[in-house]
Amino acid sequence: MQSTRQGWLWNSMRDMLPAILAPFAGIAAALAIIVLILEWQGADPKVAWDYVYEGTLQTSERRADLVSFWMPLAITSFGLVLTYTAGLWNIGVEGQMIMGAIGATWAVRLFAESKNAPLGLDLGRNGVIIMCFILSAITGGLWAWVAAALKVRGKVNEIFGGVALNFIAQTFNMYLVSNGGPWQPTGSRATETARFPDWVRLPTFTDYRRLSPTIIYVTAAAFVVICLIMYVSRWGLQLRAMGKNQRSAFLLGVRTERNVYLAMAGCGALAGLAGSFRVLAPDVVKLSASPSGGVGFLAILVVLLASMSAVLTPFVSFVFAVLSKGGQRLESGFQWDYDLTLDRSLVRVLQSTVVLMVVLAFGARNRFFPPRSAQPVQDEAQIDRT
Amino acid sequence: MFSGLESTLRGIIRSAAPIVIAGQGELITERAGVINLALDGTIMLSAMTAHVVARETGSLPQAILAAMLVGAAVVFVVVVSSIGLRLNQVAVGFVLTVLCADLAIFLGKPHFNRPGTEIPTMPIPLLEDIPFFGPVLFRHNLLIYFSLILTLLVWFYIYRTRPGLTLRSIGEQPEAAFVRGTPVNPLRYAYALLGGALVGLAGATYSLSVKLGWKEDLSGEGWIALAIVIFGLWVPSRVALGAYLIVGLRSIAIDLQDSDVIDLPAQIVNMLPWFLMILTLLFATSGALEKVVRFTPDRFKPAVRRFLRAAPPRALGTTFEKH
Repeated sequence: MQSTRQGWLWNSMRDMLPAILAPFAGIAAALAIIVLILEWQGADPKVAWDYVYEGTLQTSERRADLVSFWMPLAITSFGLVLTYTAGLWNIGVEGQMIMGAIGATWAVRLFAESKNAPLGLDLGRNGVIIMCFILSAITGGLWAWVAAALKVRGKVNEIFGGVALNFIAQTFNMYLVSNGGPWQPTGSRATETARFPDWVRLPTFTDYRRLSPTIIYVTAAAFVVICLIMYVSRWGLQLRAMGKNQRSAFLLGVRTERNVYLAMAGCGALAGLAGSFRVLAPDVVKLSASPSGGVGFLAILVVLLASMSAVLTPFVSFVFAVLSKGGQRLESGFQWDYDLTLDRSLVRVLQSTVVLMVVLAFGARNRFFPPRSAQPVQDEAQIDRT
Repeated sequence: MFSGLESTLRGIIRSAAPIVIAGQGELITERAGVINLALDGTIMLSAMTAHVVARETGSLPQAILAAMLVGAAVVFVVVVSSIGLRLNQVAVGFVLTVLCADLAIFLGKPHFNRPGTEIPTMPIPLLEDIPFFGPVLFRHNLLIYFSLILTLLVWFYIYRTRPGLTLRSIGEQPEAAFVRGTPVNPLRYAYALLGGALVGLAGATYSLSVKLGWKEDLSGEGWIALAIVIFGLWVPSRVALGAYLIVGLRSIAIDLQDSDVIDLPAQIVNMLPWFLMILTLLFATSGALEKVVRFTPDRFKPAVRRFLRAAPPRALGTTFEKH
């Protein structure tokens, strides 16, 4: 009895240890690479971290700016958890975010800026903001629906469809706001729309004029919904089954095609909401040439690093937000204090290196220390042979 | 008018060269069953490398070699992680494309917008004097000539040689190839590295010839090359055709905008490659091809069928394990 208990402990340790160590090994390797790059450039890694900290976490105003960057990233990552769990590579998330930004701007133009709103509706401030959220979720969701339809109906892989739809959304956005496009104010040379009217702006905290509580509530609600879907609902289980093996899931009665549409559209809707956060942010309030700013691709990295776990995404996206926002201070700090040119793209190098190293570490773990459950059982193999 | 057409065509052949080279490289990689999604970042990183090496050493061969090594190194990570570690090629490729693009921007910052070294033009004697074709085809530099003959080389290798048949087999039916004694995984390594080196060469073609110097606006070209491989349905001739078609449309759009003849937003033309790609994929997978074949006269059926036949390599993106 004693020995089997010890065996159980040993076996589970043998499974657990590599699984726990793998991400740390990956993160350590990535940090080592970045420290080497910093030393090679003549920058002190400690000072670099101090700048990142100073630029994001030190004062409450910086923290407010950080949160306002974190929320769109987090809500996009929640959406991606749905598609990636189902084994769908929604690379089109960037385009879905842009379409969401366009949808929100469209709502402002329809209900706040035009003299005759549809159906003569006079929605007032809250009504217009709610319309912004609804329209952005619809446009983002529809854009994802197109990718899903291409996959289900046309058998076009969602990666290739997504890349194409990204570029189409991006060029459509450019068309709207540049070179006398329909949404560029007449006489303006800047590639952006006019600032939205003052009375439709999101409510802000009294102390932090650049952060809106509304986006925090919406993101928190999205987090609860995604957690319920992933950990409580039957549908989450179905998505997981599809991710493991779509064909088996289909044979077991999962309506895989319907789920592809739903997961993609759900993710697109959340990405669209993130797009509306980006244009409605109190210090932006206009549609610019690049409303997504790469946040969609960053969210893909977040989900890959969090291994598609819904509870981990808020933390991982927070760390990535700190790095992204800290990059600006890192660049200017070294420029002013040390007269050293260190481009802020370094933090993005760090982000993707961490993801690459952790993914590789998990690969190494599965290859060289496979979990017991994944190994063939010794006895059965012997029975087969005899 | 005549010289205008000449210079337009010459320009198209020049600016399509990197896309052709990268497209054929990716085609070889994908025909062997490996997806290299890191194309876009690889092109940026290798273009930056070629520019910096050329500036620092003054040696063009070294610059080109360095760019090709970068391309091969990136794809090496993709293959090691997919064949060696059984990871998802798409995931690793995506992370690498982001990583390489940012690395190129970071490392290239000190060399940004500095004058670049250009590969000298080498007109081919006698041929360059042919009216019209001379200036269009035979007054370029070595890399552009290479892009012109590469399509032919790849086509000949894949469809007319025995190793080419093996290449196709490891991308279509690796199990069958393995049973016949083909070393599937070593060959996949080899062809992926070859394709990656070609992608690196495409990057060098940008910074040493087409868009002289290192600028960050290269982003997007790799995705276009990837789209063209799919648009060309994994056939060398159609990949080249797609590259020339899309670059041609782009340059015509720029000319039209300058001339103010029609008020056509450039964005519409920029969207075109992507619409074409989606439509082609839909067309190829929806069974519409069979209908086209049915309505052609019997005499032309085999030829039309051969031209339209299209399917991605069946084992694309999968890993092969011997049992």
